Amino acid sequence: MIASVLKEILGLFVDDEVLALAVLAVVAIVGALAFSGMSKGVCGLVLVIALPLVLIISVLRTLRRNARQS
Amino acid sequence: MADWTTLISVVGASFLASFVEVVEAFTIVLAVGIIRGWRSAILGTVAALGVLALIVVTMGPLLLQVPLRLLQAIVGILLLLFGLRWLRKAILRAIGAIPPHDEEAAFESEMRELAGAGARNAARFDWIAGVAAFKAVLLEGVEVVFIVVAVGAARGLLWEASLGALAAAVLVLLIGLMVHKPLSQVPENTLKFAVGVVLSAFGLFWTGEGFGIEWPGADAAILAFAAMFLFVAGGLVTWVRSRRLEPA
Repeated sequence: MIASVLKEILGLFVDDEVLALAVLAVVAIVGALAFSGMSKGVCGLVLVIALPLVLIISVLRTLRRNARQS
Repeated sequence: MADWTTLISVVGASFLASFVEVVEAFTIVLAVGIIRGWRSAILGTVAALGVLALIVVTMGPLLLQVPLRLLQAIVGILLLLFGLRWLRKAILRAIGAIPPHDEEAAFESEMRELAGAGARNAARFDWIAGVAAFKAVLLEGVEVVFIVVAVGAARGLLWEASLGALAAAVLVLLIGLMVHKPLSQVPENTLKFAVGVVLSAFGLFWTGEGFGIEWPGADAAILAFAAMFLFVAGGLVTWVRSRRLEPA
């Protein structure tokens, strides 16, 4: 029961591992830029552009994988 | 005092997301109640609500100890993971790449499973049924708790977010009591699409705030981010569908 609850909690955040890793990578890069003194405006712009891009790539990747399998 | 944009966004996001989760829990509890009896279904549900209350009471004060910037960054990142995951799934369902979640099918499957789980003794507590209801309410409830904390904590609107979730639970229960069957008419994918858009927008906003980014328009930027995610996700669905209609 506890294992399935923990698995379910992890599943809240991670479904497609590549999407989760890409989101974390974007956040890590923006965090590094922000703490290295880069303009906060640039950091915000990177977040605004990169996150939707990551979503698009993840969806297209899944569609391509489905197409290959069928 | 939070402005109306923030308040409506927080309560609305909490209500919509919780509505979807409560519908899923309700389907299983209903199946348990009909097949194995209401006593076990209700006891399992109450026990799960007790555990959830314990989680909230234990974790709540800990949240107050975390510095605001750090809390915003952590909540923002978790919301991004959670929101983008929902949005991705909703997009794939809208495109037809994965089948939609069917409450009726989930209900039938749970009924079959419970019916085949051995005979029940009406005089005793039915553990199989109680555990099934407990697990369903606990798992979906953990999601509701996360959503409430995530959308409410970073702006000090935990009570308001909780009220949104409570309103969703009451509404589902009222509708459920009236129709007495799974709420299969709820446009679940549309709701998940909307919730994915809103939670991703909150995630982007608070991750930025956690890193010290001052968004133009302050809290109103959440609406702009929601519009952006809606445009991207809606555009992607339309584009993929139109490509499928094109002759090869």
